[in-house]
Amino acid sequence: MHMADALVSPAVGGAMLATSAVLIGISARKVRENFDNSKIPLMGVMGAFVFAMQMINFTIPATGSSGHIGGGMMLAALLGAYPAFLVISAVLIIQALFFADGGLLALGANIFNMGFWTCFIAYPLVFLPIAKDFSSRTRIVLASVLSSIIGLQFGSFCVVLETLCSGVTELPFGVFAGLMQPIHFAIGAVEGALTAMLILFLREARPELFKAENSGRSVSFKAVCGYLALASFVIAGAISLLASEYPDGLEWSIGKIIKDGELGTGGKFYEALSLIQAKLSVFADYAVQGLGGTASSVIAGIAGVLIVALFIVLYANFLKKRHCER
Amino acid sequence: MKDSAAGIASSMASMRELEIFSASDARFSSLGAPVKILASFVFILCVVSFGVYDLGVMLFFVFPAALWFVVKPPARIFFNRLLIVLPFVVFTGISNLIFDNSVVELPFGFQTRGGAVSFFTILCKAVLCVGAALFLVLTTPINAIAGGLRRFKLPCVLVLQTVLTLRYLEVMLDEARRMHCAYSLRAPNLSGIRISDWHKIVARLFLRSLDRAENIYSAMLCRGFCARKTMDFYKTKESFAEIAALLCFVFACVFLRAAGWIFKGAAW
Repeated sequence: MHMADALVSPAVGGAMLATSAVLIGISARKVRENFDNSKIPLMGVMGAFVFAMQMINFTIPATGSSGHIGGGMMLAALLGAYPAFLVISAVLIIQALFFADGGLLALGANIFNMGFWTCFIAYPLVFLPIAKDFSSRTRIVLASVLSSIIGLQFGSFCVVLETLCSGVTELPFGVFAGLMQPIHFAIGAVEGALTAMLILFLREARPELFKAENSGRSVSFKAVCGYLALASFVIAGAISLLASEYPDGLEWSIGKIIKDGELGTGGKFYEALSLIQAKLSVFADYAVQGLGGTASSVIAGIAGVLIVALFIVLYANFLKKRHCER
Repeated sequence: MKDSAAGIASSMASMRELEIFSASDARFSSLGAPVKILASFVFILCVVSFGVYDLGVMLFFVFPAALWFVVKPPARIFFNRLLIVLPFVVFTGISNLIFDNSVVELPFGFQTRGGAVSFFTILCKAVLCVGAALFLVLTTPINAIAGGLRRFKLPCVLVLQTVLTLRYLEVMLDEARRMHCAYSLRAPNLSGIRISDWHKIVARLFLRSLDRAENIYSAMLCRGFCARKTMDFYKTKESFAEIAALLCFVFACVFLRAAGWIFKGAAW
């Protein structure tokens, strides 16, 4: 899953570097706030362990290909999200510098693909709610396998998007995603099983690793809101560019039913409403008027997310005030 | 499984070889790490900025050719690293051969399929980018790279983790060697480690490495180790000559990039 420099454009590589730098900064600040000196050797050994595991390629049955684990979920399960993100970043820096696995420009993309989805999405939203206090064997196995699969699915999908956005390959989106997703599903399942095995073993051999850090931890509401907001921006600003240009199901069906291809409209009321809509629609057809191309759709998408968020916040505040007055 | 362990050991050996080489190189190791990191980054940025049909990227082979002549690195190291990158690059590039049937004009009136040209440029970019990263580590010891990363304001905890991960890899490999030796002595008739024993060995290896790592870290703390001070010890300030050398290199890269445009313009 390591992307090479040759496969990213400066724009994609630079944007992903900036994103990963911000995430590293946040993680470093969080780790510093709750700094525990005794965790440094564990972080180092976990890094070395994941590094070594990534060098072992295993055969994926029925595909004729091989893969290696990502390791992000294993790190997050044992260290927590923020230290895990730093450790996977360190592993990827070493691989990029000393082993040419990945590249300097593609480093940001690799950190994001292998670290962000596992440490900040799959771990708090899937792993922790299922594994809970690490007391049940079944829960640990289920949490490890599910979260590893989900983390790797998102990560590999990002590889597809970043490569296609860089414009270096003619591989169609469907074919590329169709090849990447099933392979990483299998890798995720193997990684999940390995993670579960390691956690179960360490739970018996080193129970203090789990008691201090993970017992009774709940998912922060603010963190969930933050992740959802980030996901909304990514979907509206980037993934929406891949949306189909064909009419949606309703438009297509109506187009088939009516003969002239256009619905008959008329009347003063309709005209008045159309006039109001034309005045209000700053982002007609999900684009900024007067600005063409991709940037127009990206700005319109992000602005749409901000407007919806603002509306919901104002409405929620209004409801809260009314509730307090009662 | 036995091959995997041997693969990890050989990778570590090649990394040690890199470290020894970087320490012995006197011509470039005196240059500050931040300057070299920045130069590598500018080089990679210029290389990947070429379009898929842009053969001007070949102009950038001037730099690795000159450096190869001066540094004389072991060719095996370079080709080993190239082999790591090639599978995914070739997979992505080959798709261009299949799906891109456009016709592209080459200099001197030649015409060929766009897919072939883009496949070739992707391969060129991969070779150049691997070369840039390899040149950096061949001429810069790991501690100097750590200092360089600190100079770019990377968090101390991340730089410490990077250095410790590299060092603990040695510790882990040493433990693996001992365990393998003990296993072979107890089961002399077996050619390798039984698959049914692997999970126990890997788990034990992890615990033993962790114990040793904790002891090492405690010893470091007892000797007054302070992560920030140690990492910042290797942080260097650039001299005027280094900044001038960097600016010259950046200018040369920009000049070649511009020459690439002219080359493309003349071809079309």
